Amino acid sequence: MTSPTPQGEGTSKKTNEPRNTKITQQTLPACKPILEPVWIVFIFFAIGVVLVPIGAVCLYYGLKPVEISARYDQTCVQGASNAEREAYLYQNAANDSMLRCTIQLRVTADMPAPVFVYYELSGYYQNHRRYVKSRSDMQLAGKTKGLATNLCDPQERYDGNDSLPINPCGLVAWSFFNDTYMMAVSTNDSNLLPLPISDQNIAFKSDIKYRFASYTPQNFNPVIGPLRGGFNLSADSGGATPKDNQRFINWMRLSALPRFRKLWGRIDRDLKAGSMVSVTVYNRYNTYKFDGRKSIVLGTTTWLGSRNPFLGVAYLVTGGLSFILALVYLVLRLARPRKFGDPAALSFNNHPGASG
Amino acid sequence: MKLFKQGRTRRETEKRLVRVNTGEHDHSYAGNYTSTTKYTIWTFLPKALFEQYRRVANIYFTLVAALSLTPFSPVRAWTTWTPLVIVLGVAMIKEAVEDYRRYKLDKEINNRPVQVLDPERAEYATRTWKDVRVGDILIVTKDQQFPADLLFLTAETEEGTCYIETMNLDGETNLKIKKAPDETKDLGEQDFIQFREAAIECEGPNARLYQFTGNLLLDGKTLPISPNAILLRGCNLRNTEKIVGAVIYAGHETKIFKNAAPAPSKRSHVERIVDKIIFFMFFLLFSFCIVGAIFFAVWTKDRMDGHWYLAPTKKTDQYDPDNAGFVGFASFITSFILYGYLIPISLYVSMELVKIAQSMGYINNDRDMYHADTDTPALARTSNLNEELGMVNTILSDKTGTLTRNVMEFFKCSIAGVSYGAGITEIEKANAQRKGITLDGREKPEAAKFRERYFNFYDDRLMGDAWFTAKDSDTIEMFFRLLAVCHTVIPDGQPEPATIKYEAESPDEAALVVAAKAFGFFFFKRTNTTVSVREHTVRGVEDVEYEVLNVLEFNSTRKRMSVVIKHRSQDKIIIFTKGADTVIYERLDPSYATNEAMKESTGRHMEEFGAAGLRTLCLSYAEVDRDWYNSVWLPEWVAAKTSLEDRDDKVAEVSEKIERNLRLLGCTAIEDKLQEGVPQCIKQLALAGIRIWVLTGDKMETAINIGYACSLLQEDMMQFNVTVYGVEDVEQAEARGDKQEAERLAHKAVAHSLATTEKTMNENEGTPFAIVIDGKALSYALSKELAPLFLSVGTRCKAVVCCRVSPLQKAQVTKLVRSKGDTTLAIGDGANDVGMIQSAHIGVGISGQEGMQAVMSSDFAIAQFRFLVPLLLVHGRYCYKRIARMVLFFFYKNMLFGVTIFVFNAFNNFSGQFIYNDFYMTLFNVVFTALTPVVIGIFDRDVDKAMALKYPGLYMQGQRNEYFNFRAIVLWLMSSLYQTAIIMVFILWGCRSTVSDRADGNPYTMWQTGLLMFSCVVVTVHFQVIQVIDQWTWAHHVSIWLSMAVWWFYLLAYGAFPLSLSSDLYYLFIGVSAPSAQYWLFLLLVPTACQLPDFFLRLAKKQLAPFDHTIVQEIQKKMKREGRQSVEETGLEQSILSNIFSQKSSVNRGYVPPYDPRSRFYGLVSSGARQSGRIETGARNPVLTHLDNELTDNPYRNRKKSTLPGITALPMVTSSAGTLVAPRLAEPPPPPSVVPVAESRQFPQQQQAALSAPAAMYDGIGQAASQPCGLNGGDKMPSSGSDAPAQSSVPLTPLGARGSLQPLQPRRLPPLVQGSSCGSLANTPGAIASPASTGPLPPPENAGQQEREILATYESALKH
Repeated sequence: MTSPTPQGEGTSKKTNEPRNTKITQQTLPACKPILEPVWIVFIFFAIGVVLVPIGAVCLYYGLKPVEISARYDQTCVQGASNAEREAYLYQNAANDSMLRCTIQLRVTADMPAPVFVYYELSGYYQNHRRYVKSRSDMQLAGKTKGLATNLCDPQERYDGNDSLPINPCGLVAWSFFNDTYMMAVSTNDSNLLPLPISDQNIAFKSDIKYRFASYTPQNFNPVIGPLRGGFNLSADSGGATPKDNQRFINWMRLSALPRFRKLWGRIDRDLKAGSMVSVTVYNRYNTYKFDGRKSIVLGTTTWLGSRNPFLGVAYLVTGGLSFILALVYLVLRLARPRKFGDPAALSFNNHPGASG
Repeated sequence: MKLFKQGRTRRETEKRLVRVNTGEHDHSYAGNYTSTTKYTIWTFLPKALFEQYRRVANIYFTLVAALSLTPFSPVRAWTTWTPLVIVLGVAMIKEAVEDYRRYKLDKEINNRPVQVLDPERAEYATRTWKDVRVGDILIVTKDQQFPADLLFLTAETEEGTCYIETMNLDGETNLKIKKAPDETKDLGEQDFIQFREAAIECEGPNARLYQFTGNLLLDGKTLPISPNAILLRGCNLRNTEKIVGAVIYAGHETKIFKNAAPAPSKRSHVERIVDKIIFFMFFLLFSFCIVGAIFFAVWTKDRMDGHWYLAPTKKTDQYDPDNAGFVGFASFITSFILYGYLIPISLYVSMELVKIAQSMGYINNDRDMYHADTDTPALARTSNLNEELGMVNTILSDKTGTLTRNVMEFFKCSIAGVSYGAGITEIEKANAQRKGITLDGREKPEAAKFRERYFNFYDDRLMGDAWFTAKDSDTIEMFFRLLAVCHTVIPDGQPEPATIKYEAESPDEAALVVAAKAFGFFFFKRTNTTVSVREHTVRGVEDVEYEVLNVLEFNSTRKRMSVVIKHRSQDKIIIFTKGADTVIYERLDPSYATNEAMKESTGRHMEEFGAAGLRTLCLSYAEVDRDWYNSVWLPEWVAAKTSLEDRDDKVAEVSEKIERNLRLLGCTAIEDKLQEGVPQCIKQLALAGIRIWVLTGDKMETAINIGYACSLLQEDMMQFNVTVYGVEDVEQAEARGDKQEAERLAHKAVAHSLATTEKTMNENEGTPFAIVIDGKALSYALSKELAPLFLSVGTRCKAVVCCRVSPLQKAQVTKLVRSKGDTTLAIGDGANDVGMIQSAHIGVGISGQEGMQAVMSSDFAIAQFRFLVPLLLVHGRYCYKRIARMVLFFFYKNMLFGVTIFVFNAFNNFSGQFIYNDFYMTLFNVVFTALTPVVIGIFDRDVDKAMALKYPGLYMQGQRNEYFNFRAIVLWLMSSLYQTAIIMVFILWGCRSTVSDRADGNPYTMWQTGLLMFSCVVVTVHFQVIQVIDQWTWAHHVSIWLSMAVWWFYLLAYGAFPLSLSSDLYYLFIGVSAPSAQYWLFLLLVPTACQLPDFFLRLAKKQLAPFDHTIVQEIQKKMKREGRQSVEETGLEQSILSNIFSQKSSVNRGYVPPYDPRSRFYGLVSSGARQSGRIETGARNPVLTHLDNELTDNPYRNRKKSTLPGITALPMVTSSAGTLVAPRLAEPPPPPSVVPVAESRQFPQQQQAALSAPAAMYDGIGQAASQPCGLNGGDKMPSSGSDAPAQSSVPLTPLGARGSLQPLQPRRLPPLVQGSSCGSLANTPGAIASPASTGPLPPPENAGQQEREILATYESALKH
């Protein structure tokens, strides 16, 4: 390429010849796992072999925890229907002691400490969009000082009064669960012994640490709402600031389904099988209006969580299915044997003239 | 892209009058300022946005984004806006950058300098292009572009010619010669200052590049301007110092701008199905929305009051229990945004990306499709149709230049009724090979010195002045003179035979001129009015100058060209005409005795040449009466040439008057060789289940023979020929001049033969069929009434050959085939294929040749026909599978994801809450699952390239649309639904809100469950990929593992972002999910449970009813295991592949066998020929030859009904209809054993006649259609003494012998018998194959030796 002679024949002529690379020539080395029948059976078998033992372990630990529960919304309050019970709730709003009742829980098996105390609500849509959105995480974490935000609509100002911004605001906080429980335990031979319930160490550590701040709430549920729901933050309810009140923190962690439990406290004492736990309930929270249910639950856990055989069963079923599929495949294979990589099996080899 | 603005310009139909060089400009004509930009600064935003919104998807996504601003939105607005803005922004920035480039280019072009004559200052001044106006005179210098469409005035060369390059216009790189009008060509550039009274009247601006109608009005005279004097903007001046021209059209009215209309865009089948799936998804979306809205409205109205914690008393519109209607509406909008994940936002973007990678990365770079000789790689001009390449079931192919090389070589000729040239064409070779005969292919040493480009001819009766002494030396001389004079070739370079170069419009012309040179008539100079030839005759060497009075140009309707010349020294005016046999024969002088004598033999030679696949041209001349010429014809001619309206018609009419009473000289035969690898390629394509339709302008016999040569037609095919030539009724009607009646009859005949064909097909189900139809019959077959029948017959054939078709018919046939729903691919190389290419689903152009028009309108360009194999079988197949799999995967994953959202909503009364975080929902499509489908689309390959080629039948999966049909789509979507169900049940029950997943006792919370569910979705989706892909390359590994890793990385990173941003996710993963054993246990369980049944079903399908590719995969595996890397089970396919992919540069080697004056073919002669003195190729089945001859459109032949000895009339079999339906079998039906040669041949004529009776009887038993006896069907078969090949007697013998045995005969023969029976045909001692007029019989010893050779071949074949 020295002299630009137009007619001269370039010695090093540039060609359009495509470069020989593995990618462009589509010859990238590849692993081609072609499963032969033996391997297929083996794979299904292996899946079963892996899943079934896991399932057994899961099932064991899923069934190990003990759970006792009692529904109390119907028995605790007088009235033949939910409407009457609700009316009763309203009538006795001023007098908490009238809302108190006691229920007995029989410990069916030994419950080693810690025993967790849950309340269970059903028919309660914490996952309703209006509810879910009506909160301010920033406010709870103390990042926006004292101000309510429109995120909390329709619960940002107390009584709709502009000068009274609520903190923590929003429907979730506003509807904070306000039943309280006291417990005592009696064994066959002894009298009732008070059973202390701790409200500490019941929330996610990361929630306590990062998501909730220590500050004094403003205009936050100064009284229990007229609909008989909602609680303030105080020693009575479990703590005076959002960070301290782990029951509040748990309440603020929403539940995905309309039947849910939330952790209310823990009993750091073993409960022997056969003992009776008597629970004194202050039944304030209005579940009658929406025909919901309320229960008190005492349960223990293992490393795998609370009593829940589902995981173990699901593993066993899936693993079992895999075994069955291995067998079915084997049967299919024996019933309809096919030569591996047999050119004669190609459809176009059978019908030479066929097209379309 | 619209380049021109209609605005003020005059309408196209209007004539324009351009006053040259007056300085006054008619402002109604566009100026020369051009702009190709789409936008200005002000219009950019609205227009570019508008462009973007022509995609429906963008409208939808914008709507969603807009709705997300309303309070009804379940998601944060920015999560919908960000992707939208990015997608639109990127596209618009791309637009802006492109447009700015165009703007800069425009500016540069508009400001280019040019010398313009300023009439006021009377001098040439430099101006910019944009200031040039219509009527200006300007000077363009060497290598400059023409700034506007100009009338070429002068070039200051003697001839007034210049060379231009039209690259920008039509992509052709060869130089073209333009000629200035005689009246101005001698003016100097300064003379034009005074050139003021001139005007140009012409048609209005139009897009016809090669036509121009206009006159130069000069000095009161009206001079016609030929298109040859028009220089178009966009062309460059080459090899010429400078030219002067006058502007006729400027700026946006120039032809190049008028031509800049966009080609119609094509969409693939897959894309159309994608639209349908999207439509279905929209349907699903709306159903979800309606269900949700109704439920939510009812719930809110009836039940919400009870749920006091939702504050039903604090009313906002969308939750107002008293206003259920609005609640429903708001909920609908909410749902619309929420379930929008059903519609894959990134599908279009990903698809575009993948297709660009496929076309730019693979197709353009495939070394298997690189043609080294022309240095041309394949080119995907559009990426829209990649996957369509995998679904082709019909290929419509041009012949010349596509199947053949378009390298024309003068190969044979017939002069004065004597055939010359001893070459054997590849087609004859192929025909012989089919019969198991090897032809001697050695070249005679003498021939070598005459060989050159365009010329592959040797005959020692002509070469080296041997013709001086021939009998018809006068005719021969005239023949050579015609070759040297009658053309439009322009010589270039030194006027020496060795160095001269010919610039010809078509290679045929060049071949003829080169032939003339080889014969001693060296054409070396052309001026405007003369042609100079150095004639080497018996009188010595002499430079002769012929005055060319007129050139009557060639066009496709005239099918001929003529020149009228005057010999300088003599006073005679002579017209030389060359053209198609039919047109010339019609114009022969009936009173000239020699004509009659020659007609028959020349016609026969032409048939033989045609049968050998050669292109024939008939040559003739006539003397013209001088007075008549000057007083009558010339004025008419001038008037026709200068008329502004219907000029072409008038010129044709006048030409007719002089092209008559011609004297036949002979004919030429030019070989257009088959391209490399064509037969193998066609075989491969046929194995891939692709029907091939060849559409050619050739004669029927040429087409049929090429068809055999390139394996398109096979011996085992049942072939039907449909033609209207030779139908007596029709011809009689035509003779009477009753055109309507003739048409009616022809129509009826075609209808009948198509119906018969169909009937025969029904009776012979399972046999491969082929149909050959000529252009005239085709025009009836394409009529409304017959088209459906023709189509149904045509699509049952493996091969269809349409001969003598016009470009329009090509497009019509394409459209017809398309209309049935077949995926068509049209391949061609020339301008006449453009219509076909554009109307097919896929247009493929042959690139690397001179002409580029086909390429310019094509979707893919390849250099050789054989590259269709990798293009379809490799790329098409891969692209189809990849795109199909990718699209299905897209819909699968989006449906999986969308339905989980819907199902969760059922648990919250369709309030529109989602369990996921809105940000990672947005990222689902664009990040977490974006890479894998793209990798599938680019890297997936089920079987290796070599296997795809070895098992072409795999291609049928695409034709059946196995991967993307209703069943496949439904299965994928069902699988998606099943998996959704598993996920929902396992997670919502297993992780319900009443159970705890940890020792700490905290029950599951909503976001935690959502996180787990989303993790399961991501993993399940990738498990699905792992399950369906066939091969793992590093790209697969990267995409799958990386995508999943990114999800968790995102959880880590995003969860640590400030609370305001990450909200629900803040410390969720690290703080809550990750420490839980259940999170990981579910993550293992759920995807496994999702995939297990799917996995099993796939494997069971593989076991019970495996796909073809599954088996091939297994074969591949087996071969690898057995250590056989290469594909070599059958040698045949191996050789096919090596032929298609040979990278060896293949010189077009000529082929001239040793010449023997007495025989054209060595060792291939028959006793029949000997007896009759006729020649027969011997390589061909005589019955077939006979048939071909009978069936081809050979009007003059049938009219003549010349009686030749050698054949006995066969009985008529089929009935009334005039057309010929001639099914034929592979072979002449075999004798029960090899019939002794001598016996078979020695049947006397009478005996043959007797034999026809059993044949008829045999026909009677209903097998006629599949047997050669059926051949004689058609009542037009000459009743006596047909001119069929002499040795037809041979096949008749076995025919008779076989009559009774037939039912036991296998239809196909073992090759050995085939070979031997052919051998016996050929192996006839002492045959003579020279025309009766020449030469003595060959000496017997010579024949004996030949016989021995053949016997040896035969024996070796037997041993084999």
